[in-house]
Amino acid sequence: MALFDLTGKTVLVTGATSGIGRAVCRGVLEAGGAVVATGRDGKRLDGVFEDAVSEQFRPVVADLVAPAGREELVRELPSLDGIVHCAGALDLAPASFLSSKKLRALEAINYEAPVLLTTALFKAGKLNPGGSVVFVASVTGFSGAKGHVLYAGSKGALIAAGRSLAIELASKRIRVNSLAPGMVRSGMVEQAAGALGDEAMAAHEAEYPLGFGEPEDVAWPVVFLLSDASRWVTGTTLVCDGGFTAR
Amino acid sequence: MEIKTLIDEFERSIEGLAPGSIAPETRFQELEQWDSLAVLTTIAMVDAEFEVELTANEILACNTIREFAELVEAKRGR
Ligand SMILES: NC(=O)c1ccc[n+]([C@@H]2O[C@H](COP(=O)([O-])OP(=O)(O)OC[C@H]3O[C@@H](n4cnc5c(N)ncnc54)[C@H](OP(=O)(O)O)[C@@H]3O)[C@@H](O)[C@H]2O)c1
Repeated sequence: MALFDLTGKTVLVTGATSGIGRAVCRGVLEAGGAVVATGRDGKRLDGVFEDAVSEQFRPVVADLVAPAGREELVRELPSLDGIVHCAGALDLAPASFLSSKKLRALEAINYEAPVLLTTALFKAGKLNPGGSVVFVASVTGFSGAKGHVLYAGSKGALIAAGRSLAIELASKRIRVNSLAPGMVRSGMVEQAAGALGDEAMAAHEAEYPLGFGEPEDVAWPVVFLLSDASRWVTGTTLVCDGGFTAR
Repeated sequence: MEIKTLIDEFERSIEGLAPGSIAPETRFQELEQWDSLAVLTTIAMVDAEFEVELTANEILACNTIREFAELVEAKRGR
């Protein structure tokens, strides 16, 4: 099982304070890798990982939306064998209440930040050959849902950009894949429940053959995409949705 | 805020509602047009027009438009 092991690999995880980001950090550590974890709020970041801080785990406060914040982060980071882009935001709104301000705000964190942070790290020579980049997208990146126009657009753009990056970085043996989760019990599900109501959420969960996921259900597939076990997998999207889009 | 102002905005934003079809005592959750998108639209409408942030569960706890208007008014006062 050595191919699934991450020993000797250093992985950057953005949005490490999120439900999914946090589970990914723990998964990487458990698989033997080292983690550099980013969040905007140092206190929150330290709070989430009170028991994990070790030589293998380094929290870094970073603002991913500001170009200057990304530049500073790139300077600070060591050479990486993997990046998992978990930072992201959701804004559910009906088509009749969209605005350019809302669209740009979502695009900034869901699309611009992961793409331009990856390319800046590549340009700075901080992505090691054999490295693996994982964009945490969403099933809405390719399947429609009411109220999701802006979010879906940002995630679809991310998936498309990932495919072209995979082609361009293949000569350096750097792989780029997206992961498309369905509903995972974390901060974002609470936010969706706030916008849709408990009853609508329960009805939505009934459409999931395996029910809603837990953050760990997404973290282990990410570990696979980071490991050498997936060394021939690039430019693709791994759907992790308990069968939701299989219907 | 006049309840009439809220009713006008409600009728304008929810797809398929005719002007004048809603009264203060209307049990809006029984309307044929009321679905999850209508909930999202109502949240977005009160945010845009009255600068009030509501959750779906808060709206769904109201029976009539009058109760909904009281909720919006109470939040606006804060
Ligand atoms: N949960 C789901 O059902 C689901 C489904 C499909 C896809 N996803 C995707 O999975 C990822 C993680 O989701 P989650 O549910 O675990 O998220 P979450 O608990 O809502 O947390 C969001 C994360 O994004 C970070 N973030 C938000 N805005 C940011 C900004 N402007 N700059 C830097 N960081 C920012 C937050 O960091 P701070 O600590 O700094 O606030 C936090 O770590 C997201 O990309 C989301 O779109 C989630």
